[in-house]
Amino acid sequence: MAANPGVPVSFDHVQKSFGSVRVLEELNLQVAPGEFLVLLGASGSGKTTALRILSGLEAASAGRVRIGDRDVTDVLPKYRDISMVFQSYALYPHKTVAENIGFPLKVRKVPKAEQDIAIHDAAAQVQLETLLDRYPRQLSGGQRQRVALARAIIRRPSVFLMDEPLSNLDAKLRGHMRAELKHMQQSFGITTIYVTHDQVEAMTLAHRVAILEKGILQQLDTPANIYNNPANLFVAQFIGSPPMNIVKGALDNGTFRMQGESLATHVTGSAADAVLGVRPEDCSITAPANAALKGEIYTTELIGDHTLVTVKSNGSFLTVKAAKDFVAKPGETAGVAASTEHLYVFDASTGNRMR
Amino acid sequence: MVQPAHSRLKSLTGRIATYTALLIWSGVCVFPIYWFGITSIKGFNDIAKGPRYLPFVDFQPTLASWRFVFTDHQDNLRLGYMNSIIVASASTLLTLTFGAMAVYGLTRLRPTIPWSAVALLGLGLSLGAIILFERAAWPWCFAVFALASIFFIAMRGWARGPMLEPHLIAFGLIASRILPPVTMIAPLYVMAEMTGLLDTQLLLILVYAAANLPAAIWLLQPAFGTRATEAEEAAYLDGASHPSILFTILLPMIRQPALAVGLLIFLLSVNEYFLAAHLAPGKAITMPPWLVSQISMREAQIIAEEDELSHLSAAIVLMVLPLLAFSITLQRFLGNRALWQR
Repeated sequence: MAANPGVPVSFDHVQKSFGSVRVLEELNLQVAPGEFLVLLGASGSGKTTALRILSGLEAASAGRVRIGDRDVTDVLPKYRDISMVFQSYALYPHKTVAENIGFPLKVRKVPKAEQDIAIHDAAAQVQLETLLDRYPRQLSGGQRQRVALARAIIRRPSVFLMDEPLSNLDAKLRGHMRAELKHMQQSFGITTIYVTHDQVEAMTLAHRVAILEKGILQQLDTPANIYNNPANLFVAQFIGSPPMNIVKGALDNGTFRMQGESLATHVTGSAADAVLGVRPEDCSITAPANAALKGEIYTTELIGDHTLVTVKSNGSFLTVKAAKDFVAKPGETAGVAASTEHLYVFDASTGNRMR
Repeated sequence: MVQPAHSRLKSLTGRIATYTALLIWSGVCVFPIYWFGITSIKGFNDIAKGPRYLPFVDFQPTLASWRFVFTDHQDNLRLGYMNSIIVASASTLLTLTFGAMAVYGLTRLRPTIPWSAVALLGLGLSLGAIILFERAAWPWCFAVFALASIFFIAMRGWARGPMLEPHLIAFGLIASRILPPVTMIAPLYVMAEMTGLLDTQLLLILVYAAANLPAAIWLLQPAFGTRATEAEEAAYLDGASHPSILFTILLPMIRQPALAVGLLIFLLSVNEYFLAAHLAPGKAITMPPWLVSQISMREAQIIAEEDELSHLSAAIVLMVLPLLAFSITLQRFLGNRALWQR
């Protein structure tokens, strides 16, 4: 399979309102040719709306959308050279697998012989050759997903759009299909925009992740940078499992002060209301005397390769990822230590990261 | 409380009571059909001598009426029968097609029409009617063309004014059914006469389709839902046109409720009497007016001709049979949950 050169996609000041509800505030987003971009966000964040605007199923209230060097804002979906995979797979229940896969070609009046070759080719890509005569109701969830994928790839579009394509699969199959999707996208080199609420999917699949919240783009970066360098408090809390520990306090010339304790940080500057963040895996349990953060052990949970320790400190909870053989009794006093380079500080009023 | 189905009818007396009640009710339902059936195979004497219930026991059955109905000078019956089937089938097909297109349009495309354009259309229609009836010098098709142009210009030009929303359009369509058919018969008759369609199958097909369209729209709407499904959106993205999405994707997906609606519309058309009696009394006569005309003829005669009763019964059986077969075939669509779920 010759790699498709891929085309760039861009959102230029795209806005969307339904009546008086603003779903998407000025979205500016450039997707590189052949890039796998994941739009990540909770429900209601505007991620699906952004995808639907790109597909043409929804019209932008303002702004322009470009695919390649073409402004497609006012172009009908069928002329945008895109194909989309839906969460429900959107198969046609009364058509066979072959008819489902071949539908985009049939609509385009491709000669029957050519259709058949393409159907077999696409089916082979997703290991469906033996199921071509079946109906969707006779297939498992994973197989239906493959049919939807085959229908999307048969036309060799410029851009793949995927709207939570793995959400309806069980966990094991989801992991498997994730790997297949990633492999397929790499071998085709087709620009792919993928919507999900699942941070694991986003981190594993994406070249870059765009995190949306309340219709606003929070951060657009590689998965590693999103994780290690969150732009704001929302991203810091959204990415990571268990989520980042948060402590409220004030920043005084680079020193974080809370409840009579203080902690030196790398950050310069001051803020009356600041938030200190530290990831559970960057923390360790120490003797109370050695740590600025202290409290008592609330629970310990053995996960398998590690133990999650929850420490109750000044009414809030801190999670620490400890070694799997960590043992402590609830109620014991403990300190939570973290090295300075692992501390994040955010301005509580804006949510922005302080550096 | 969830209870296994079999435990509900546990006691024997309870079961006997239930089945007795069901049996009696079945008798009430089935007896008229049985009575028409045996009357159609009774001879003149058996009918004249009072009730007879069992063939071969009570009376000697004869196929005389059936022979009469099928062969002897009963062209009118055969005519009515064929007319009924053609008119009902064609008008049902037309109603379903246009009903489906209307519901698709209202739920998927969500059109909004400027009130100003609607007002203009009303004004234009009135003007057109005046031109038509006053026999103005210019032909009416010219007026229709001018009207259509003005309407579409208004649609585009005044799109910023107050709008007629889809739910109001739907209400308007269904509200047209509020008019009793009696009020429509005179204008329909005049229009049919003017267009030369009086007493034709085509007239009944068109009138039934128009009359049943509101019911079809009303009944089809739940099956269509209020917005496009992902399957429809996928087809749309792949380049399918709206008609092809409707007819090749959506309708096959909702064929069960759509067929149920079709059955209902078919029954409405095939049993319609009032419009048929006035608009097609002759060569396009359908079964209901024909049957009624037979009864009226009997009443007009001083001496009852019992033979006619058995002829009539045979005709009624003939009319009911295909409907019965049709209903039983479609019963699984009506009886199962398909219509009530979705």
